[in-house]
Amino acid sequence: MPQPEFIQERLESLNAVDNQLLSTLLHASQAVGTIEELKRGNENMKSQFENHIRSFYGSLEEATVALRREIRHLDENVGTRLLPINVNKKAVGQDNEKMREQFEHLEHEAS
Amino acid sequence: MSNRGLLEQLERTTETLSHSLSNLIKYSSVAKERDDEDSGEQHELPESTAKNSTSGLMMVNAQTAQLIKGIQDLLVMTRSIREKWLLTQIPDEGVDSQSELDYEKCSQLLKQWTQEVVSSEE
Amino acid sequence: MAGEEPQANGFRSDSTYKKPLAIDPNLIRPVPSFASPTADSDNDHKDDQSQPSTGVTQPLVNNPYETFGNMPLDQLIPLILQSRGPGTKFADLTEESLMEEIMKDAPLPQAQQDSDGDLDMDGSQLTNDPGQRTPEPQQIEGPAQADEDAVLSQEQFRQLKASTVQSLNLAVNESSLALEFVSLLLSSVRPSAANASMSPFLKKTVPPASLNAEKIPFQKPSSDEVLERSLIAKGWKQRSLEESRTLLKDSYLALEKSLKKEHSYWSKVSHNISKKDVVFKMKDRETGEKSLGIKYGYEDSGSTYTQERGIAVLRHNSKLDNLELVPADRQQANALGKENNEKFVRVRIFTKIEEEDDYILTGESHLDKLLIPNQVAGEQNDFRRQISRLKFFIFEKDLMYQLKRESENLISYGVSIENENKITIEFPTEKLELETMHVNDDVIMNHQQDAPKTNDRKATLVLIMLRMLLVVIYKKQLRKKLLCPQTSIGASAKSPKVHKVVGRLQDNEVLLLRPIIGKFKHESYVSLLKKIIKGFVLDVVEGSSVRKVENPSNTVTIKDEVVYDNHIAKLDKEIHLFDKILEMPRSDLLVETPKAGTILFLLQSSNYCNATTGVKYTNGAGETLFDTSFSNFKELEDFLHFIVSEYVSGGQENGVKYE
Repeated sequence: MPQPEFIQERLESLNAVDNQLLSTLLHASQAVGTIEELKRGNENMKSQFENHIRSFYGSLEEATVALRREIRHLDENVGTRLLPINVNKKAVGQDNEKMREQFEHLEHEAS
Repeated sequence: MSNRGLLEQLERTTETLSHSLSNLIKYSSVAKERDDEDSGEQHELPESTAKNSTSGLMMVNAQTAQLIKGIQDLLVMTRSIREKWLLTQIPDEGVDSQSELDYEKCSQLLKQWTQEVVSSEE
Repeated sequence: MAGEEPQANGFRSDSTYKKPLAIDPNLIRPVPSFASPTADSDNDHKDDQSQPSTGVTQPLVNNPYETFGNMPLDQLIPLILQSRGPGTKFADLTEESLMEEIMKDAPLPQAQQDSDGDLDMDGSQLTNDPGQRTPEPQQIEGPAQADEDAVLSQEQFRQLKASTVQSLNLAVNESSLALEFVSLLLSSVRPSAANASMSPFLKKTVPPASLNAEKIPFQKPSSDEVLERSLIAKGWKQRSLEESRTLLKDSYLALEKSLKKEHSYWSKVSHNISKKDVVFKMKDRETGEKSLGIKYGYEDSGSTYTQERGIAVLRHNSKLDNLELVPADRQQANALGKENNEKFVRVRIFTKIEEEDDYILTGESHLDKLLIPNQVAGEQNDFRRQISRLKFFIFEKDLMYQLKRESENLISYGVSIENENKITIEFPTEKLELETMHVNDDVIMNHQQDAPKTNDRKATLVLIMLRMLLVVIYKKQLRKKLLCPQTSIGASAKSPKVHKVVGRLQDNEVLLLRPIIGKFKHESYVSLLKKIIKGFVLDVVEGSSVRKVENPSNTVTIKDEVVYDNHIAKLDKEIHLFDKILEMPRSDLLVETPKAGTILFLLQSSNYCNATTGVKYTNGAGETLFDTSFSNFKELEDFLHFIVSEYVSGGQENGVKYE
């Protein structure tokens, strides 16, 4: 498992946020569509219009709340799991890996 | 982008988004209901065409674009958060890094190597 | 806000939909944007009509009012007649017939909604709408856009931009003019408010309160006018709403698609990248998109190989999975063929055949299992395997590079560089060949089919040791960096030349071949020495014996000081593991004679490959009579002969000390 669970969770919730945002957009377009219908005189669209608007605000709210939570997670983890901004990650440990690998080979040969 | 900056941006964008939609609706109002009431009365000026067209255009270009841009901004934000998580993790020194080489065994192996390779020269 | 759709005034790309224009858009000067292809065949004629005011060669907005309005009548009438078909006469056109035609067109708007899902997204829309977005779905949409952009040349784009700027300026001017007007008006009534809003220029040129207005009786528009205006308003709003809805829906669809791709990319990335990998954002040179790259080179682990960067791009292949490539250097060399870069080092041992004075192949090193194509499919394995392969190859290249560097200084010891891929080392009875081989099927097949030979194992062991020694060099570099960071950082600030030297390995730090050769040579020297001793002492002097003596001074003194850093301590330990291998070879042989004392032979080397023999003769009384060293075995023989004949056999003592 290359990534620990915590990270997986975070990624999944970020994906969910993305989908929420998308559906917000969809609801917006639906709302505008229903307004248009209303303007034409199609009165019975009123309830639909309400629904669409409500779902727009609903999904927007959910997305916002989730994003806020994510940002808070980021904040909490900067010192521990995440590096601070201006430090570059270095690929250390590769020499150990190679050494280990060669010792294994040696062992294999010697046996 | 620091986290506080992210938070502020989030708030701003959401605010803008919610306003955009309501503005959009507002701009599109055609005073339809009032038409029915006061078809005879003309105490208010009929809307000029300039006003109509401006508000129409505003609606389309400004508000809609704001909506779309707002959503896009938020999507960009999620992506940047994703990047932060995946790219800047601190490798766990204790858990992930390999255990130390077994020094005894290794020096043993090295001695063996010397014997095998070099002594055979005799 | 992005300057977007041309639809504000009308002719849609969808040919079934034509809403009658309520007003000439030029009255309002909308923001010009990309031309919309109209279905109107009359467009061909419009090209004659230039739009001199904006100076754009390509009309942005195919504005029928403008073009037709400016057309002189004698051109307009034939056009109309043409569009109606042959045989019509202008006199036959009546208002009523025209009204009928317009009525017929009216019910068409319904069709618009159906074509919603089918609306073929114009390329320009994609680039505009998720406008700020397209550079960001990093590598996903990039190549598709390139085609669309080609439609609009650089020149055209500049012109469009210029005209946009001009229109914007116009708008700003108009609005500021309006503001000035209003504030001047206001100045007569409320001077303070007017002063606040008037521009300094106006204040200077026009005295305040110089503009007045009078009320004129309001002419109520007739009900017809009101009706007409409200109709226009309604129609305008309707259309704007529709457009806005379309915009939203289209951008939703576009975003949905790109979001799907992104999600899949990120999920693959997250599955395959572990915490320890160094992944970062970079620009993919080949496609020009921003992308993620992964670092696989050994730079941070002590390597000083600068000919390859060790970075691979995590490119998304929408059909399969991640592809990886090395940056610029590899991509340029791609023209030569991909196989070119995958090389590995192989060690071969040849044994000399005395009679024929030729060599035969007696040993070959094993192939690493990474090189053999793997049948095991599986996404994760594949990815990590690719990374391992890249690491392997860059290591091999570094190894060969350092070997070549070292060999340059070892020419006098039987090491020769035959070509840029081959190093040969000659020993008395054997020959060692180090070669970089390309990875191709023949090599692998040949290897697998060859029967195992006697010295295969030895060859493999030599190769393993070479690799381990390279890692030891890396570790020493790391330790150096840790212990004295100033030399690498500070030096670069002062003089870049020094920095380069520090970055590169010093010649005496590269210790790959020398320890191994040294050990081989040492053994042969020892046997040679033993032969000499046998010949000159043992056989001559009776009762003498020779034995090997432990050399006490060779153990490296372990530092007792406490090292504060774990990493340095760990590095130290690992480096010390190899002390025995890396130490200068040295053997002591002691010849003891029954009566005439002992001769101590000290065979050592100063650079692993040469040999100096120190001879110390202590006579029976314990006095050291001679203590010299020779680098030439012939001289040693002579000297030995001299000692033996003078002192040992003769049994005579000479009080004279030779130093």
